[in-house]
Amino acid sequence: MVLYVGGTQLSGGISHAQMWNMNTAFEGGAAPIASNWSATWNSDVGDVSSLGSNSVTESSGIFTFGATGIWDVRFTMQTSDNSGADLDCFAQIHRTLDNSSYTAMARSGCGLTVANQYLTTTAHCLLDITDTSNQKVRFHAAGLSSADCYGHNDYIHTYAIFIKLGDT
Amino acid sequence: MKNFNERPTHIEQALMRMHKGQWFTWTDPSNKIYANVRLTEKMGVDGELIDNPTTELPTEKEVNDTLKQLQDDWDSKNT
Repeated sequence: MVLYVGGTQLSGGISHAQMWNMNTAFEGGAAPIASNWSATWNSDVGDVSSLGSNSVTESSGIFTFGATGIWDVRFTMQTSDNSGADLDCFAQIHRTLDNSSYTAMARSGCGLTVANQYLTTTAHCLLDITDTSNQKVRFHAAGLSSADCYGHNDYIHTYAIFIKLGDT
Repeated sequence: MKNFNERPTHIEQALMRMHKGQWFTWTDPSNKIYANVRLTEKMGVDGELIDNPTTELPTEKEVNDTLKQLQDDWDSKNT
């Protein structure tokens, strides 16, 4: 597969990739999801959760890229609702360019209408990271109200994947 | 912890019903026992990180009582 950004062909193979798992469930929203991210989990028995050293690091729900480049960022959220209330839930990717103010740049929604129904939704974007000190992302679980955001340390339910596709 | 649609059996299922949002965390997420429960310092609300409004951990009895209540509720609906 050949990828182009702004008419320029991306070069090289994948040098950096990282998966982060949310290890603990909660009820209601989190904007951003500020805690309980893990780079390893119980069912990880030597599988690759990271390609490249310190590919993407996390602190208080803020994710810092380990290298400049074109990054594929995906945030998947699994929700369920105990009450059967009619809820519109959104997985959102928020980005900062100045390591301070964040704006939403991708979101994916799901409608919960039935009690004990599991739904999964993924927000997805490509980012041109030119400054790893100031360009970062965080993730929001929005609109959950009475719904649960499902996290687990044995299985991967709500998670983020970062893949560097090539140079900036 | 089992599937959330099954009968509650784990204290995490009780903890998440006691307050909204990410108010608790674990010192060791691979060993989710009461002794490893801690309050988070910050929670994400409306795009801001705010101080956790929950300032005291529930006692182990309170957590177990909540789990028992969840189990009783589940039993009444499913048996």
